[in-house]
Amino acid sequence: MLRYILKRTGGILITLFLVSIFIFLFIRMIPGDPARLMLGEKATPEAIQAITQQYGLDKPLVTQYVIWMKGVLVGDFGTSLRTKMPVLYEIGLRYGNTMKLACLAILWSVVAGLIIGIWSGTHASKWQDYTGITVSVLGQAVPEFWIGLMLILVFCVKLKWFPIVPTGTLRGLILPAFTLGAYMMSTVARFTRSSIIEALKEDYTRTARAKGLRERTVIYKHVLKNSMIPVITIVGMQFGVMLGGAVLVESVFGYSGLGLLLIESINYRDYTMLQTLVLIFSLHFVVINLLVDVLYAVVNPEIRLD
Amino acid sequence: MKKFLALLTVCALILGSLAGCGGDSGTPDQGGAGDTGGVAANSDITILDYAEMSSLYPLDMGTVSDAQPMFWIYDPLLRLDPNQEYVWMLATGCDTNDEGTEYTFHLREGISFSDGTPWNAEAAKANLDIMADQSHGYKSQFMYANIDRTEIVDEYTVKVYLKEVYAPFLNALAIEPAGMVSPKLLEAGDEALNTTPIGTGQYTMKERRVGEYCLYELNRDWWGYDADICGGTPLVDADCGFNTITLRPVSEEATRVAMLMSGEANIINSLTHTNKATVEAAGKETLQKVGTSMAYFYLNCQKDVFKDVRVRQAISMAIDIDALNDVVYGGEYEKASSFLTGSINFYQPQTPYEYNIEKAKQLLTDAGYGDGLTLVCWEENDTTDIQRGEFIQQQLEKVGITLKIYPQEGGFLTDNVNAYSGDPKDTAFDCYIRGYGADTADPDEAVGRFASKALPPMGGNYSFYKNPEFDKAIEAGARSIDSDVRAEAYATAQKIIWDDVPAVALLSTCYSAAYDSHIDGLQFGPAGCFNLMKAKYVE
Repeated sequence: MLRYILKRTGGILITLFLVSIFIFLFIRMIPGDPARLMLGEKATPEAIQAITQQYGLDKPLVTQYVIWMKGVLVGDFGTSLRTKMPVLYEIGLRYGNTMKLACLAILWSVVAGLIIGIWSGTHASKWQDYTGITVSVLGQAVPEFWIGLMLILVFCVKLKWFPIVPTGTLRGLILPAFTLGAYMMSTVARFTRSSIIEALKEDYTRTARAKGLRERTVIYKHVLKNSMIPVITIVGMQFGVMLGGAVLVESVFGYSGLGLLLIESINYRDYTMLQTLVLIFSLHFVVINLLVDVLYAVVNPEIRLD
Repeated sequence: MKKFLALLTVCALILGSLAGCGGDSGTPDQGGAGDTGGVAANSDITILDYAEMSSLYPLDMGTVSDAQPMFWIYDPLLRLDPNQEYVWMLATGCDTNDEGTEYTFHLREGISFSDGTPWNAEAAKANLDIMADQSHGYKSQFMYANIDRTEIVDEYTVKVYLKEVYAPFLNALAIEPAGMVSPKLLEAGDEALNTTPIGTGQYTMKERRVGEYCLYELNRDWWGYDADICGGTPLVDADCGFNTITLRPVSEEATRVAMLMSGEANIINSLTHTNKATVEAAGKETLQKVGTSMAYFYLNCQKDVFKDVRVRQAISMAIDIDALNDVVYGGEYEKASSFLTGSINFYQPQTPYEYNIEKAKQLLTDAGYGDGLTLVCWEENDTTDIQRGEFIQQQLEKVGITLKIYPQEGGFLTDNVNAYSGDPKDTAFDCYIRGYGADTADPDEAVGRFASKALPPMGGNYSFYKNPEFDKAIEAGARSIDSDVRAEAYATAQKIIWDDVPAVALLSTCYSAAYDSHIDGLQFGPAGCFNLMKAKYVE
């Protein structure tokens, strides 16, 4: 397995290199001159010229890319065009927040989603199943910002159980994490349910039951383990998305994360910030993909990584 | 079962560590219980703004959210009070030469920056030099492009030479970007300017967590409380101000309102009409002030269709601006009665165009467009802007004008309106709807931009309006520092442009806020940030 991981790490570097070229070019294809956007429509031509030169925006694209890459290789990702602070400093201030929120959201949603999914799947077409389906459809259908605002209204304004703006404590994070994880919980529940229903029809399930195993053992040892592959895939993908920031949850709860930073950077065409953010988000995805692949092999030994 | 228990344990551990991670942030340490001077004990207040500041250096501010902390931390040479009158701050007055190209500022003595550096001519020159040097590329620098050089006359006198007469100069020095920064900080560079602001202001920044909150502490040694420094009477009472202010960015308005209702915030900025009734019903106070921004429906006067003034007047008569205000803004904005908003100097109300569809149709028929007309219109793709565009579209349909609207993302739109072949006839749009804010609250900026020399991309004349009479009046206003001459010039300019309708002046935007009963004396400054100089906390 170690060999496999090492091999894949090489692949990750190549992927990131290609991603860096694409984002560099794509960002520059968005119309809008960053110097003008930054300085506003009333800026003097000298000031626009100064900013253009200061950030090397007048140089050929290849040169700009090489300058950026040289910096990236030694850990210097550049200075934000908008705030004039190092981009890693700005990202660092928010990265932990996004990570905390995403981890908490994924944790509750996977646990709750699995419980609901198993419950529904093992009681297919009974009231338990319908209840499970209703909860998961609601979780997917109700928009995040609505859930967030309703939670605020009930638990913060009326009952005053939680602070509205997360104050860094676990208590403050509960509502945002719940809101962010609602969709994920539904997805996990639905995938688990359908995988379990499929697995229950398989021969190995019948064999296990024929052997006289207890129903609990059949479900947890045979059925659940085999149904986990699609669930792991979807959890991995969603986790990657969550690590890219949660714009709606962040704005509803006044939470400082990468989502709002990304939106602000797009509005101002903050090239250096955008490049770095997208590169970091890509890194999340490739690393998560690797972990997911490794997890496949752990869950199902029939899958051989090499 | 064992595995399940193990999983639960892992979950508990992760939760525990997550909670631990947050230990260092939390709510700001407001302190405040110690020596309270003349100020009410424990008067800690929380203010919510809609965006995070992007810079802590006054000259690099670009938005109202940027301006807010500048108002508290830094003092400029002078300020505009809510009635647009000058209040001398770090200067005690100034003399100008007859031409209005040289300003001699007499600086206030006995003031120090919060790092102990004395405020004197050297400090003033250090600031003014950077303001003048456009090569720095700071966001608000354009307002000081007219400064040629600054000379130190003596320890407390500086003389500023302008490249040419620039009437709004004092106004430009009276707003937040002109806040005076400690020279030591200026030398330290951008990173220091953005992390450790040092001014002479009523508050100092105590703590900041980017994106979360910023904590400001009352500067008890602020010169504004000292009668001797202020020349006999202190600028404000000694018990004015709050012990600490926590400023939080909360972008979602519904959340800001919820926080005010739940008592987590004392003051919230930017309140739309949909929430005004809610907060008032909950016993909260609201505050409103006409700002310096106005929304315009620009008509490209160089296009054949708009060369005839009757077409432009017809459009002006076909839009029911009061209804637009009610439908889109809940009646909270103010109908334009000139090209200037009421809070800009030398504002002169004009006779409003009556909403009259029949008359508009007649004017169009007389101009040869009785069979209808199709126009391309650009606007920003913000929800409210789109509603505004749709409303105007429906109104114009009644007089046979089909408006084809193309909403665009803000930055893209700015680029597009400024990019044309150079011949104004070739612009891809016939009309353009957008707001425009006059930062200096001076007519030279607000209406002077309709002069023929200010065509895009060099200026904001998006109507491509060219009228020598108007140009003459604008020039007369900009080239004089005599307020009588200016008043007359801008009265003429406002009358000409109102009758000529190169754009339909729609609505003046209003700043709007809500606050709870603990706050007394809250006011809006000219740029839309809170002026808390005289504000107090009442139990």
